[in-house]
Amino acid sequence: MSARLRATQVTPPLQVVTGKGGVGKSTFAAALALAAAKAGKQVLAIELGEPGGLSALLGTRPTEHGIAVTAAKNLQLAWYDGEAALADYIVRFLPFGARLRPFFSHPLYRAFVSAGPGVRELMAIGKVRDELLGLSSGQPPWDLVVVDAGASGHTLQVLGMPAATASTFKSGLAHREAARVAATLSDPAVTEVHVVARPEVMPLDEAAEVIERLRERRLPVGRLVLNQCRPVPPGGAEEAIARVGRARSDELGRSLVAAATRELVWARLQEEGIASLERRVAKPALRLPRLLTATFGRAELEQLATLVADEVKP
Amino acid sequence: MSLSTLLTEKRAIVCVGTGGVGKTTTAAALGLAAASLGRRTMVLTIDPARQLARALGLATLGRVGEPVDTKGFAAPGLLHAGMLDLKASWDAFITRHAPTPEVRDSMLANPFFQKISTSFAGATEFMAIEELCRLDESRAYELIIIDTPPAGRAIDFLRAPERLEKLLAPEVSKWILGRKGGGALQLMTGGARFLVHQLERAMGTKTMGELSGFFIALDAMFGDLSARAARGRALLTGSETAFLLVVAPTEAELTGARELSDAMRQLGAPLRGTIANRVHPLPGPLEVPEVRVQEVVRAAEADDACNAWLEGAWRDGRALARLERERLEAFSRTVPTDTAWVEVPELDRDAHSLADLARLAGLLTNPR
Repeated sequence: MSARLRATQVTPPLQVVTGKGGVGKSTFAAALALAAAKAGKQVLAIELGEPGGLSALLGTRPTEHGIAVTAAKNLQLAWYDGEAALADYIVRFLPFGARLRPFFSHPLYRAFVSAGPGVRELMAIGKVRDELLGLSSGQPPWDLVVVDAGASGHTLQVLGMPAATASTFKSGLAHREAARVAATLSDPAVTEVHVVARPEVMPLDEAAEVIERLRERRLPVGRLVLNQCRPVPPGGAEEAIARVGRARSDELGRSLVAAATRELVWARLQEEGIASLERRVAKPALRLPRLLTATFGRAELEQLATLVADEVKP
Repeated sequence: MSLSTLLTEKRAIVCVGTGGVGKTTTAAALGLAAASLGRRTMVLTIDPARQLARALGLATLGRVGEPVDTKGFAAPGLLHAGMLDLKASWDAFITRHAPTPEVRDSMLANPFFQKISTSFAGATEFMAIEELCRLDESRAYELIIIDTPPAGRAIDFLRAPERLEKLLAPEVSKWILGRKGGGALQLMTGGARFLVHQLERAMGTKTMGELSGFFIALDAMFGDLSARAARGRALLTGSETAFLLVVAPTEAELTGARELSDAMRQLGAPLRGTIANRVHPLPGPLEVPEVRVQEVVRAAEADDACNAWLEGAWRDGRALARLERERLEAFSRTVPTDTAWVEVPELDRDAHSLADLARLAGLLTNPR
């Protein structure tokens, strides 16, 4: 499987996007998916869990687990629910699986699914692998699968679950399936996990931790994406502010000096933070600009998609 | 209603909000503010401890609570800080509630317990609530401020007791333990055996043995666990507890906050206040013609790159402030009336010291 993908793809076909809350993970995932679709790839974008950020950004909302809807030309959007994925799986793979359907509402089954150690996570990520390999339909229809995997703590749980399960269950179906999924996730020719952050001290620090934890688990780290970057101040910016201050002591002059000074302070903090993070994780950041528009709609998404177009070149 | 009033009158304050909005720092600053108001205060954080530890100037945080040296900040009260150690808390919980040493040992050694206790959805939340209850019962503090796990799972905090109760439902353990009840249960047993057999094929017999061992131990503890879950829910929805929403004025966060606020109202724990962090003030007067700005920029006598940057800094600063104002006003219309509302301006650096926290505490309790 890997050999075939290596021969035809340079961008690994499974693109997982994660990051701490509120840093624009879904925005990057949507831009990446749209860019790939525009480049002519057949793309499936997946939300793990209830439809949320990706659906809002792409302006369409899949209503049913596992049923993809068209979000743009070449781009389909789906959401996977771990519990429903488990039911699908049981029906398809266990002997007499279909006879187990009545038990899906049984309290033991419900307890196992809602409280069991990562059952839902394992099933959801297993479903992603099925899609990638065309196991559901028989034919791999996707050149690229982009997964909006949610907040990084949860993603680490999801991505770590197959390996953990494979070691918990020493044998049986669960072991075999989990080991297969774990192998897919840790193969850098197949999978790439992008970490998204905002260029501020704590989020940058947390991004470094996420990257380190992904590496500890031998999950291939893709891009370090920084959303909402301020422009880098040009040389002489400080002197220019000072000259405005000397020439204009009126209200407007003072306000502009104050606004520019604040911007300069923040931009310098940003640059220090980014440089230190890049050193720590030995990886250059992909910077995306801050867009100050009232709402973030399709036009803004298209703009970001243009900026990330190079990420999905074959 | 002001934050000072809440800090003076409540017994527990729960800080909720999406991740990355300064929730942990805000919780720590509220702790310092409460100590300044004379209250014996404990701040319990769940997020990676380093954040709060750094802000509080502590190298490590213990589970029980490290005293924070607030001398120099004229705090007549007392401030302790701690972090949740999930595994240790669960182990201690089992030790406290197991009816016999055998049940305790079998539980602590059970692989399912070891996994579930630290990884089931709501495990952190349940234990945070349990620690909150314990701190409340200890009467060592007058006010407990608790930080909640980040990101979209904040609502799990309120649902955790209910989730645990579902897992503990007597019918579940009865069923797996094979106890015979009335007719309905009798009828199910054949099917149940079939399910167990299938699960054994899928997971191996050893695993099934461990799973039933887990339920046997759980069953022995059911009464206590259920009582604790009920106690947690009562504390969270009681009048002595206030939920504060910490939010940043971005589109994504305010959307998340609105959903959270609605869900909380439905769960019987409405928000008592909102703290909007990182608000950018509008630079300059309300209306400024573009041409006058260009005139000021020309005074810099700089090159094109600098001119463009200066204009950009001005334009972006204004655009950002206006956007945030619109968003915050729209959001403020959705929160219950008679709740605290505080806006904290974007500060020129993150809180690194107790002095930074004291400054933040001042902004929270004496808003402009």
